[in-house]
Amino acid sequence: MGIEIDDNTLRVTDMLGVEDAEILLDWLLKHPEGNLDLAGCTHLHAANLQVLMATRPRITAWPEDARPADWLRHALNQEE
Amino acid sequence: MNPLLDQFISESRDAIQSIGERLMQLENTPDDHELMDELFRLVHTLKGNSGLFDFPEMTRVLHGAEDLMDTVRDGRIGYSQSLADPLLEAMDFVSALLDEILAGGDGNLPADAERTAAAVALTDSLRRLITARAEQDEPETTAAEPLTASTPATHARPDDPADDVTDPTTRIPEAARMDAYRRMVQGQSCSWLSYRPEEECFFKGEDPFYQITQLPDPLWRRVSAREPWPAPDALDAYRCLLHFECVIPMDPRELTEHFRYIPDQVEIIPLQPAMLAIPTGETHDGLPVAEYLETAKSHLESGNHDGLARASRLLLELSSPELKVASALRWLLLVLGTQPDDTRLQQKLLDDIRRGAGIGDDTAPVLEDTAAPDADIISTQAEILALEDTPPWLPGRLRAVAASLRAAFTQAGQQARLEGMDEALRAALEQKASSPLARWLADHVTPAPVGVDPAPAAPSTVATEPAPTPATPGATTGNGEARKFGRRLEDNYASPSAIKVDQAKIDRLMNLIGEMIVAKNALPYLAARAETVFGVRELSREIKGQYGTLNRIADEMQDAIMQVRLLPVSFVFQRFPRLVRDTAHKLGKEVRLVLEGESTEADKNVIESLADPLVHIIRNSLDHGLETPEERRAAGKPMAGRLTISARSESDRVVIEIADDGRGIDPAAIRRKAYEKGIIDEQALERLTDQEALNLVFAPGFSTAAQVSDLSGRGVGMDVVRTAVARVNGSIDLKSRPGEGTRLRLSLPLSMAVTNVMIIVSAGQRFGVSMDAVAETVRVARTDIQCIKHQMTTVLRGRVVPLVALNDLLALDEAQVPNDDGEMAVVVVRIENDFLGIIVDDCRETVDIILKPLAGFLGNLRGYAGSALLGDGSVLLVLNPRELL
Repeated sequence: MGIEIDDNTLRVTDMLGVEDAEILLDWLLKHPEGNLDLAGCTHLHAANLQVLMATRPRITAWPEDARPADWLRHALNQEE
Repeated sequence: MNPLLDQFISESRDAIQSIGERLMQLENTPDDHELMDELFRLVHTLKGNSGLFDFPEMTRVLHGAEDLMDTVRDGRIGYSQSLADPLLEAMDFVSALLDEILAGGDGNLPADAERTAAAVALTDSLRRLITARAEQDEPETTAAEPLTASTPATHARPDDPADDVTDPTTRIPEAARMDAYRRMVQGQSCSWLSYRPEEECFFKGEDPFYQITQLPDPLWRRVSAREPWPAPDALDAYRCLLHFECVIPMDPRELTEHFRYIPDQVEIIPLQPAMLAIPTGETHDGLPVAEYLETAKSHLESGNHDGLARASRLLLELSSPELKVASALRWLLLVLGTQPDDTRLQQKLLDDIRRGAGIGDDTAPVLEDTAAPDADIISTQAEILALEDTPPWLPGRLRAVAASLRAAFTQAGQQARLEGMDEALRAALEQKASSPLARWLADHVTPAPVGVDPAPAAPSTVATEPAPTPATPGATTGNGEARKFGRRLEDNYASPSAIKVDQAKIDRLMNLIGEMIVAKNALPYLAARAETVFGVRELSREIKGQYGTLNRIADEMQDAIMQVRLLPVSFVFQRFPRLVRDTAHKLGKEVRLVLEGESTEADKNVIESLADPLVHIIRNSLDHGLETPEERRAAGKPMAGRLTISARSESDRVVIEIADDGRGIDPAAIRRKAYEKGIIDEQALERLTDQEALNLVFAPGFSTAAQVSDLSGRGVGMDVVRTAVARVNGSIDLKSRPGEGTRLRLSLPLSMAVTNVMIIVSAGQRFGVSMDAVAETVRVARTDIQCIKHQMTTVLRGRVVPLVALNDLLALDEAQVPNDDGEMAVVVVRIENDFLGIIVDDCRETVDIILKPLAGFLGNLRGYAGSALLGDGSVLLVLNPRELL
């Protein structure tokens, strides 16, 4: 559980568990223009990945951890 | 190997044995629902148990079997021998796995791609039976579609080429392919991985993304959705639609190991350099390809790599980089640079250029897998034909098979091979048997070994070339093909290391050794008789010698039988964590439970008799002993209370201690309470020491809790505990310090089968007294016995010991007989912590006896603990001093 919500920004501080996918989706539906700060994200459960892929939110910061960052970039910017 | 696994293996063997028997029985009585339910339950239990361990293959196969049984149980498909075979085979597979686990010794089953594949194939064949049979049970199913659809999805040939998993390489960008190619040429193995997690995988606790991020960085990857993403507000975050594809620089075997729990959701293809060298791009025209090809061919034949490279580079410069020919040339250059000797690959690339240009090429491109789909279809059809039953819808089935075959061959452009099929079909329909069609299929489409050179071949060759028929287990009914995991149970009989024995048998053994001990005890009598009655001292000595030997053997035997009956105390302890957790939760207390010495062993009866008293004690501790977190904090203790339950062996006894660090017991409160309840009188109130006051909690009808809660304090109190412990010859001891906690100590005999008693004589009769109770035996001169208020007493080692005559206790109207020196024999027994002297006529030897409780009407005689048979054939009554008073 690592979600911090600050106005229009959702910051992921740790890892996103399977339950967080619902929160994330909920927030993204309410804030379609919201910013997603994934810098602190160490891992996210596949359900979260699905949410991100389906909603294509604005990501202001990619995870600092190279591995999830690589995967996320590939998943979200498909034609790379 | 841990005991849980041990138990699992032995139970599983039993289960498999029973499953096998039930399957056989069902063959005779396929409508026996009870048997079916029983069978389902067995398979279900076995599957559930296997899930406790890291044996994914076993769970998988059993799951398949369970599903199949479920459909049978629901009556959706009928039971038949063709169903029993794969089920038996599945059980053999599980049995083989058990052998492997046992052979491994450490309880691990190392991943093995072959085994995983076998498990998947076996499961597939079981599942296929569900669908195939369910569909056959609809008589009018004549179309080819449903039957072919019953082959596993992976074998189906998808129409969309982009989804064609058999040739995934074209989707990988050229750069990534070249990267992989270079790595492979350098000796690293690369694999293509396609991972489609099942839709419900999130509910099974899986995290596919975690699985995939645990792999080394892929050379190429793609994350996509199985179907277009729904609008965000319609998205179900927990329905997994992900599809991962990547090229991983990893050995396929390691990958298989990584995904061993979900082999059916991944597709792993070991990559070969040649597989990647596929030119992609737009087709070209107007390039001087023909000329180039001419030159290239001659260079290739003469082995002039430099010339070939030069020519290729030249053409590459001329062509636009997006063109397919450019791609082919780039590959050619790469191959030339890395593996100049691989002329076959170079030739293939040149062929590609030629074909793309449409020159001098009458060889229609034949994909290497043309034969594969119909091979699968054919094997499936063969399997259907091999079914031995003759349902009323057989003609429909036969037509369906024929239609499938026709479709398969037509699609592969091999209509010529259908020759004779119609005749065979007609014959089959007339005979109402599948054999003519099956024969035709076998004659025309003979199976060939897998792995036919996939080099492009002309259609004519394909037509004569036998279609490769991969032998899938279960697909072949009764043609005796060799399968590694198909071996029968009796091929390799593994003798189990543990056997399960009915308790009655052990009890019988116990009784027999008891009689043996009694018989053995007869020898000293015989020796005595030999000496006194017959006057043969020599014989007497020899008998005594023999007795010594027998005694030793009998002792060891008894010990060995005892060992069989021993159970670890964990048998009782294991339910405490849950009990403590629930109780503490209900009471709003925080408790940390510490269990120690769980492996301490004691006799089964002793252990079992412990269960209830312990539960009671623990509830008491939690309810009355430990304080609420607030109270604890106020008292300067950690918030969470500590409850320690420890067991250890002390010589021939088991000691169990239950200690808490709660508020302890206040002796003053006990005294007051006992007085209020009339358990003690006013004098005792003053006189009792603190420890004595504490022991009052064991008094019948004593309960200190102000409120009767639903946990403890139901009026049963600690006296019940004490009685239960005393029943197995145990003792209980309570220590408590107010504010610091309470400690209860239970001391129990290791075993209660054989009792050591001392024989005493009174009024001409012999009685036994358990040695556990006897503190000492003394001779007391009659003059040393004083009467204090009609109570005889004597002073032993500076302590006043009350004396009672046994004859008085037993209401025998005789006086105790002193010995010649006018001394009385006194057995000092310990009752709780008090000593009592019982005056008897004489004390004799001690013997081991098997104590039998008095039964029937005599059972009400509380003064006796039971009776035993002595070596000379007489019956010995064993006294129970506590009850006697």
